[in-house]
Amino acid sequence: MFMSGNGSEERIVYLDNAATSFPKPLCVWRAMEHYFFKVGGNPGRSGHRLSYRASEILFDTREALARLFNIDTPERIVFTKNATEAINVAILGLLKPGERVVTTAMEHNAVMRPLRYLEKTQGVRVDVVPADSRGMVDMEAMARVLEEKAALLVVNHASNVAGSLVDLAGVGALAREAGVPMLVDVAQTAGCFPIDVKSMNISIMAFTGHKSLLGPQGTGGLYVAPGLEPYPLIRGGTGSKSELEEQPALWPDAHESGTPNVVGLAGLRAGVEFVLEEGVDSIRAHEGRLFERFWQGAREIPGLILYGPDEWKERVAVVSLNVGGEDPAWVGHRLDRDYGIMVRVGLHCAPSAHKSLGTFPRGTVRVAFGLFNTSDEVDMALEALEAIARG
Amino acid sequence: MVGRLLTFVNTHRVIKAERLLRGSNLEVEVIPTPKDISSECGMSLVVKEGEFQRALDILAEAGVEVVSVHEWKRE
Repeated sequence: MFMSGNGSEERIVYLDNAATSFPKPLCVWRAMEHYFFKVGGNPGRSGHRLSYRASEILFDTREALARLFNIDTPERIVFTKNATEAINVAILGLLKPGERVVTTAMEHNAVMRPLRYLEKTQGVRVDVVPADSRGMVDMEAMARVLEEKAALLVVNHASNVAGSLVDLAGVGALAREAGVPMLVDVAQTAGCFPIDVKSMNISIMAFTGHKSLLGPQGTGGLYVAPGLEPYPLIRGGTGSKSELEEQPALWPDAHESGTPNVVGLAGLRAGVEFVLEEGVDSIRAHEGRLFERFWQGAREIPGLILYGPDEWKERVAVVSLNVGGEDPAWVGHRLDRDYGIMVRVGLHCAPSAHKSLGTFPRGTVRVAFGLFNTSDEVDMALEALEAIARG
Repeated sequence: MVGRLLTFVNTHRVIKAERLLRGSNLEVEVIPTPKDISSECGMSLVVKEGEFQRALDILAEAGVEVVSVHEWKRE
């Protein structure tokens, strides 16, 4: 990809799609522009047409997400500023003092920190199911741990460090058998891996809008199945039941106090519709081809250490690696400075995952492919890594 | 439009109802809910008197709950 920077064209190879996807489809920008110039109203507040059109943007975004995830009740999708906020609403809003929660060693701090907070302040018991050195969660241990009563199971669908997937249908079946609601963090999979809340038995799902759903930053949300009622983290004006000074229990109003990020959600809607049109299966196939090309090439480079599963069916296109004993920060800097290649280095906000891989506290270099990457870009990354590994 | 005014629990349901009714070729006007009727939601739907029962049937079939129904006489 070529970008103009400081008046001159520069070649950019963006391989940091696990942090945020870039670039976005043109339709996302157009939808945001349309909101800015043609809509502009505050949804659910005033009675005029621009307010109503803004409400329709939220409505259509929920409908598009419901289609993507096979959700029957779009009003039970509420918008947050990111997956972290959605996870916090679910964890803090559902767990009561002294209850037991089960999670995995591959979680992001978006899950671990609220859980450790409740452990410390509310006496919540946190049981962590281990993962192996490839980042695969131990399913036998999961089954054993779920034999004891738990109030919630929290699972990361795909690791943001190793790219390793959890077999959601399998874990979902265990959760259903144990009668435990399952909260899934789909930050790394929504939009690039097929997700069906019904067949996977997902009770609660936290998603981000700015990764594979191709929306802008500042968008995300939470789906909660009927029958589960987390208490709201934020209370305030909803435009409904205005005569009451108590928070309404209605969905989505209960969890959407204050004016939402309509311009962002207009972009998210366009992103989700783009994904629906491309097809998640075809997006996954494209990313699979990029991964296979990279993985085969990377294995040939002396000194390169690769983490995570070898098999595409067990992972997404997020790859962690190290170059010999070199500091990941320096490798990342050389990729950027000398080759124009953008990656992320360090612990990726997931210390527990790095402990499973044996890469704590050094961390890794993370290469994450997206829908708009090409096989040429894979080759450029391989050439650069080979040159850095040669020293 | 003169007819019946239907109120809903929130804007999400108003939009859902409006699209269902328009999709069935019913005439619908979206208006701010009059203060003497309710503060449930900012918007309500007005349908023609002659199409009112059909509107209720369509909404009931789709599971969209109507909170209240009122006569509406303002043009």
